[in-house]
Amino acid sequence: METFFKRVGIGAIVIITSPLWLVYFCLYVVFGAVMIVLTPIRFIASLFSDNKLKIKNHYDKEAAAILNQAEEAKARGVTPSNVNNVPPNNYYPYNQNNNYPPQPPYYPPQNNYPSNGNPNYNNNYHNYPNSDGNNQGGNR
Amino acid sequence: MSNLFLLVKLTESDKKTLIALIVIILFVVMIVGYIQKLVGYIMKNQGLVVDNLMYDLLRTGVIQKKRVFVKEARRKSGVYFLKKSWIPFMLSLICVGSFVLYVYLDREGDFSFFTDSWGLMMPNINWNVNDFFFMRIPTDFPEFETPFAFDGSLDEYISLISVIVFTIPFIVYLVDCQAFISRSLRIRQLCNTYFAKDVNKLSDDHA
Repeated sequence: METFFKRVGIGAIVIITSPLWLVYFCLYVVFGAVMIVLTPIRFIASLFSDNKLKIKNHYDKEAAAILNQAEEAKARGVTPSNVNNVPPNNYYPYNQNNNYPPQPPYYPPQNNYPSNGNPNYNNNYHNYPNSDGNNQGGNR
Repeated sequence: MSNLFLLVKLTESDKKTLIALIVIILFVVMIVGYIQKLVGYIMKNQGLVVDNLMYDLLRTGVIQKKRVFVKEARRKSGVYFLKKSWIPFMLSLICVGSFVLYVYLDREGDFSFFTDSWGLMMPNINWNVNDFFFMRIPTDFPEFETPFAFDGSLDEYISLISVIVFTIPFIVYLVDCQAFISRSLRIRQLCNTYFAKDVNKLSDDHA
């Protein structure tokens, strides 16, 4: 019953305020028609300016560049534990005022095998015995 | 007190009519309320287009100022509206233009065949009404004196097809306008939520 009267009340408000929202709607209809009629002029003007008549503009290109960098970084072999290295939400690829080219974000090297390429590295440092007490010579 | 005396003076028939009138008004108002609920649900879904258009820009932090967000979101919404609505708008415009051109070229500017045809096609409805104070209100379901009639004359074909061809694209255009309004409201809503300076959230971040 409460729902019924609530709905009746909303309906009464809608009816009472109908002139207002009808005028609001009609204004948008007229505004939309004017926009469509003026579109050819806007299109011609956009050919000579930076404001192209497209949904995507330079903001979307910047966003796509950031997202592509993050995806490429993942594809380069960043382990799942390092997925958090993707750029933060407020990451800017380059300073627009200085016009620096976009640089990929820096990721620290993932050196899971410390002895590779380093003959002086002491492999035994990380060796650990197995359950039988024998040294397996592997890295932890 | 005078109102109470007025109610006492009412006959049984008047009281029944009064109750019927109140029930009908309540029913109509309730239907309007449910239509409002439906329109609100549709507009909410239409407004989510803004989220699709602006999601990546906000996620990557390319846009960090409220003013820039509003400007960019409105620009995108306007271009989206143009892309969606120019075809139905032009179709309805072409239909009206060609109909007016036909009437002026072939009928010497006489539009009476249009109204006459619709007058013949529409049924005559006889409502049983009853006097109630200063109003005449229906007291029963209507009777169809003449049903829908379509005798297939050229005038009726032209009248019917022109209205259908005009109405469908124009309704699509009106729905696009409604979606445009929904996106405007959604942009305003996002301004007040996404860019809100919430001190509680700040304290959570520091905690």
